[in-house]
Amino acid sequence: MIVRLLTPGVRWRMAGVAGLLLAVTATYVGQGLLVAHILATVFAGRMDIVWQLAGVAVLQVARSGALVLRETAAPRLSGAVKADLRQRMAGRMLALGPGWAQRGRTGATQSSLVDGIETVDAYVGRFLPQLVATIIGAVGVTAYIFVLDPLVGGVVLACAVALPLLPLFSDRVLRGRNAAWFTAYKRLYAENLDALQGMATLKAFNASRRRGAELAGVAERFSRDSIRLMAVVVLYVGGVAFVVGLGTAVALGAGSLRLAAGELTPTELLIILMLTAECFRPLRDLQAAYHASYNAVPSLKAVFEVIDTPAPPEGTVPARTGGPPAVTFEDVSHTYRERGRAALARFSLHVAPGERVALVGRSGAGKTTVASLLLRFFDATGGRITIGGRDVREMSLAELRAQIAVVSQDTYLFHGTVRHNLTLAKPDATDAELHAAARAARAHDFITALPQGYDTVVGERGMKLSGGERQRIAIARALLKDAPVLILDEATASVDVANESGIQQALDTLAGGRTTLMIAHRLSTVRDADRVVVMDAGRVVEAGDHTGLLARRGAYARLVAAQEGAA
Amino acid sequence: MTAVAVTPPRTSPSRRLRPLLGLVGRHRPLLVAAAISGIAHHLVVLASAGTGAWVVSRAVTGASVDDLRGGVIALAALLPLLALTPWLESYLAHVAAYRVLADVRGQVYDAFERLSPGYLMERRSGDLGAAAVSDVEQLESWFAHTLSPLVSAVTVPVAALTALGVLHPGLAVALAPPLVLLATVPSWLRRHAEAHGAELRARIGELSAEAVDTIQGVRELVTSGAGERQLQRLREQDRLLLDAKLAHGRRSGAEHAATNALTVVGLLSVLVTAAVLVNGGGLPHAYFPVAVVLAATTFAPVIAVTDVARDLNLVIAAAGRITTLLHAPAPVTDRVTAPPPGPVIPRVTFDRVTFRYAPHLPDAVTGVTFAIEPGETVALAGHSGAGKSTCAALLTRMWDVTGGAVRIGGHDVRDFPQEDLRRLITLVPQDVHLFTIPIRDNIRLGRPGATDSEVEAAARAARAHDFIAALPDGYATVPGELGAHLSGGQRQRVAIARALLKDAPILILDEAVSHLDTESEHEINTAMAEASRDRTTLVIAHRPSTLRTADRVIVLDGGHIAGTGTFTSLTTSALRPR
Repeated sequence: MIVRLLTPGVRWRMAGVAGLLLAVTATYVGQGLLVAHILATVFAGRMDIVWQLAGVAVLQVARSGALVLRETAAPRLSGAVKADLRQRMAGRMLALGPGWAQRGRTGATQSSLVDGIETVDAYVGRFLPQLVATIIGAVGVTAYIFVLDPLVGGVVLACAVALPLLPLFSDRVLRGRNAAWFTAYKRLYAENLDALQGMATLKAFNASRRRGAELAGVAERFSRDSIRLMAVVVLYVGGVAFVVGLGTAVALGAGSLRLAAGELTPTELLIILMLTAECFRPLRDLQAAYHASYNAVPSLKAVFEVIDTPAPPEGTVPARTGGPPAVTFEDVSHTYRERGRAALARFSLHVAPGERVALVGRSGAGKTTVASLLLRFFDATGGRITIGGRDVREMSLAELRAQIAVVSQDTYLFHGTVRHNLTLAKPDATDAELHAAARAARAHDFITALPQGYDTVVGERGMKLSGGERQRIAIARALLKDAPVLILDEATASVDVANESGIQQALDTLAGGRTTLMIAHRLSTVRDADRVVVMDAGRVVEAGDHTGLLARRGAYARLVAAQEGAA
Repeated sequence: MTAVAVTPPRTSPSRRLRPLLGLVGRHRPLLVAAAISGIAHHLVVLASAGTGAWVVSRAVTGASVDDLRGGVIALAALLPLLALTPWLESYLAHVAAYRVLADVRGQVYDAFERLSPGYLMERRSGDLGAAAVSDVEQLESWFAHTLSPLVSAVTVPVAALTALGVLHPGLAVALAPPLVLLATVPSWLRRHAEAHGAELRARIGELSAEAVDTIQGVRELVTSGAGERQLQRLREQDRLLLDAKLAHGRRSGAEHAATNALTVVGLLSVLVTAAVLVNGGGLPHAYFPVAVVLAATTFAPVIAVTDVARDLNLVIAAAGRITTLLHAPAPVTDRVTAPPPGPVIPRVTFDRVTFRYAPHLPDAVTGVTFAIEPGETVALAGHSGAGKSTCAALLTRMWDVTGGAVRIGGHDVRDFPQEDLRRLITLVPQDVHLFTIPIRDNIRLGRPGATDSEVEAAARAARAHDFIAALPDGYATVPGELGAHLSGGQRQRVAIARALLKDAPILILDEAVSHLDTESEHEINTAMAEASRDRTTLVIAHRPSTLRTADRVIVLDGGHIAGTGTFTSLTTSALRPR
């Protein structure tokens, strides 16, 4: 994974950050040597230490410079990696499309895309350069001490090697507990969120106290689990302190004894005094960096899982141009993952160019699956779907979807202006085109009544629009897209009675001259369809025009009777 | 309707730390123990560094092996403490942190309970809930990694200065100024730090919003061919985030460089003073390295805290938001502790009810007067914003009236404790929230003691039994996130079953406007008829079919009653768009 994070362009940046860290270490080593010499000079009864003092000051200036540079070089390094990962992950999510998105919990994917990738700051920006700098720096300083005195050098080396090995060892011990803790954490998070979002309901049913007590129990258990895990994790803190202390004590003790035995000069011992601390400094920094990036590896694994999910293969055949195409389903069968029952079973339908076909049937009959397969949100498990005679799998996804406009029952509004939302499929639309489309969709009046008209910010954190208003935005959007094939998915479901006739006219305008599939629930809206196809259990059970079907007194007549009974 | 903005007030830093300390609660002893261990740790480090330097200088000044033995033994004796104290500090601080976090989660939950749904009404996607959960998470770094080092940073240098002063007062005098200066560094750029902290959070928020748009809007994006443009927007957000991080980095880099330089100023100052003293005979040679090493070590706890304190701005902001939430006044409070005595007749009356959501907003309803007799079904009709939902909210006391009174059986609803009031009323909301617990438990939410057969009976009456039985695990099925695997109509029927099982004398039905197919609509109408039979029912109606079956229809327009009567008696003009 480290290799995949460090693309060639990023490697040099990381080398730069590691270089800055090494420079910091070097200034500390230089400072240690100078201070040792100052001490030795004063011990010798002299005071000619001005140059050494000046040296320490110069090194400090250099070190402060390196520290300043590092604080911007590290975010630049991790920023490049993060931007790249986000592009790859979001790009893959878009390539995988809504069919894939339905499988995951949006909360989890969102936290991967934002927080998961943010861990790169700690991992690539801090931990990895520190690892490189620590290995080079600690080895260098230890080697120098080794030259001064092999015994002391050996002791320091042994301790320096032991430090990075400690977390490796503890990782092995902790992996299982860590995973269990992480699962418990996610559960606590999810349950809290669930309760907070459903608080109005909990309160209305006098269940909020009870749920609160349950959650307190969950939180209590989680807190106990965390403490149990942390008791082991923080052993490392003690371990590091012990090893550093041991190394320093042994080095100083042995060095002093060797000096007393005449095997070391006073200056050399003072150097050892000042430098053993410097040996361990990068190791302590590494430990802190490691602690700060502890959650990076599992988070980034989840990111790479998305990036590595294979996207559906695309063809290269261009779409047919000129006039609305025919849409044909030939013996199409489809079974969703993790479902036993087929959603579509040898479904066949030919929609002639410009024809308006309404799909009706109770929920679960397979109507929405027909639309999803046409858009290639999923690939059918059997059979063939063509547009203008071309198999949908032979075209590129972009080419295929460019031919189809969709008005669905849940229209998502993006954070941004009304204009941005309308011109989603046609970013270069002129104001005149925009207003014409909005007028035709019966949306112009309510849009101009908004505080900033077409420039009003809508979406999650902007103005909220009603279901009917969103629907009309979707219709205007589809009009602007001007694609030869149109899918209307329960297009008037969210519209209140007062607006229904207006919307119906807008939809008629929209459907004019396009090959149209209407997925309809309100039978009043399908009367104008050229053909009504009644579906049940993934099959076509009846087809014909409204009056003809009524006369047959079959499945369609029963649906109509049920609706009229309800109305 | 407007939501009250959740922004922390701007105050001085010491006051801004107060909310954090206020959250500690009953875990204070643990944190005190952690802080003491932290102080002990730094003192042991000081002692051990001083002893090491003393041993070295004794050796340099020609001591024999025997002379050194005491020092070496002392070093060895300090070793276990050197390991034990930081472990203890870290362990205790983490224990305290996890316990405080569990407590704060409970407090946040209670605050939501108190404030919901009035205060939180506009936050429909639950982003406030998500923010609350992650804000609590932010506090971990404060309680586990910041608080106790902060205490050490204040106390340990004082001890080190004292030790230096014992060696020679001049040494303490030399070290004090840079130490004091060092302590002031974070305040130099505090204004910038706060601005950058706010900017950084805002940027992360924007990025999250783009991520949500990318994920939840994927259908629109791919069908509109707008994927590449969405990627560009993400790229732009990444660039802005990097800019914010760089600004944050430049500030923290400057602070880091300054603190680092000050430690060396302190070191040099002690070094020169000690050299002069040793040279003049004012200080024994053997103390010279000890003084230098002590000076260098003194800064360690201060440096440790400045390292973590650079991100303190983010933690304080999170704590500010949490305490704002915890201290927000409830929109409705109980003024009585017991309900009126005797049985309550389920007659609902609105008596010249006037209400506005905030003083600066216009009336949502004005002088609304009507009554619903026991067992009667009354439908409220009108365009959105006419005041329908407001009337329902006033009946359930999500808000209290500004003028007039809402009464049940002749008693003002404010003369019931909220829990007793909610026992009288059951609700089928427009947006049904299904919890990620088995369907069975979702249905018995209002009556946890209900048996499985009672749950099933309610589901049958709500026309929900058949589809529930057909689910993979039947009544034990856990609905997916946000109930995603159930259709809108199915969720409605689960909500009706929930209301039926609760069996309260008054029912509020907030009709869903969408997501219903023909058969579902038919089944829901049957289920609603079942639910409203023998109950005093208020329906917020959107469908003509509902208006037709109601005993009476009240048409609201602009917060006033525009007409009352049966569906047929009412002139259709009142329902037509204008």
